[in-house]
Amino acid sequence: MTESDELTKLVLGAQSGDEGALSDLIEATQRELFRFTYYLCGNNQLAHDLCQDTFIKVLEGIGNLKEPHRFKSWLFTMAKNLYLDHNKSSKNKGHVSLDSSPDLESSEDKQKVMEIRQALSHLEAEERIPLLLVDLEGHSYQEAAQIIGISEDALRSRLHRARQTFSLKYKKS
Amino acid sequence: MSQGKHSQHDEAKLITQQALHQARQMDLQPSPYMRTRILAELRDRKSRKQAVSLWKRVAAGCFTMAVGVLIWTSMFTGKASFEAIVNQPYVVRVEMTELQTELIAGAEISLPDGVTFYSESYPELKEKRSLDLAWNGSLNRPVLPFVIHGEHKGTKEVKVKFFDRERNIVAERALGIEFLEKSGS
Repeated sequence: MTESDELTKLVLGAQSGDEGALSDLIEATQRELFRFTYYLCGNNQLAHDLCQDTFIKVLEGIGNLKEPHRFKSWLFTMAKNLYLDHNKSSKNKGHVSLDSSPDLESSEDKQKVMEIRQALSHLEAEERIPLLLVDLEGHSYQEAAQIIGISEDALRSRLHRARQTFSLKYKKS
Repeated sequence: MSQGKHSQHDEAKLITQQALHQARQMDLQPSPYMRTRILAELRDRKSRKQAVSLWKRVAAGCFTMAVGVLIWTSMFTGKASFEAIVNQPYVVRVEMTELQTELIAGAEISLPDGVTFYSESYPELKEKRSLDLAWNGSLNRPVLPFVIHGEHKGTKEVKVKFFDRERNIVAERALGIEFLEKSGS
């Protein structure tokens, strides 16, 4: 059974009200979602809040999900929407605060994370999102375009700009 | 030039993918309590929803009952409300469309204090407190008209009883009439 099949099975279980399946579904996807939200907002606490709100919204409406195999896309779409809503609020504009660091054991890893976050902070949200979906999370162009709600051509264009800026800033750090 | 742009693009792609691949490999974990918190919040919301749904049902039930009582009161108590002017003749028309008029052989109209019957042809009716009407055969029109005259301001109740041939009451109507002062007087 593939990872995707396993996830679909858990979604079906959660839809039928099995709390064990619901718990396993969170367990199976929380790491990826947290990583995405963490690099998206650059703040440990905010990433946790976004992640938690995303799961609550998605799992509350899981009965309405007609294509269980698209659960992960739905999760990332919701996280992206919540982040953009958060960002719209004028007091939250300007994005990345670099004041909180993740819980990592190795100081080398911590340094690396800081460098990546620093480079990402130079990107607008509309460029950062495709970059993280494709190059960090490994979504296909088609999936990423669906999650963001744009065409594949637009996605390629944003991705191109995002990679240019990111690589430039990352090299400098 | 174009080749240069391509290689620049490829280099940017490579650097980005390598950096983010490293990010992916790192053991960046959410709080170990996150799952527990999410499940607790979901349980809490579910129970709140159930409580709200119960209250909604109770409220809807009360509302339906209130509407029912209101409809019942207006339909079956036979009370109606009208407005008339003090010291001016007022024509009352009792609709009988809801009654089985073929059963009705007569009616009795009773007036409260301060209200009198009014007739130019039969002024003596003014002295009567109630009026018995009888008719043979069925009514041509299912309406019983009569004219009254109110002497004081306020709400008065005129009662109309309908009888069959054996003098049994077939129906009753209570007409609430509010007598108002003529504006400007």
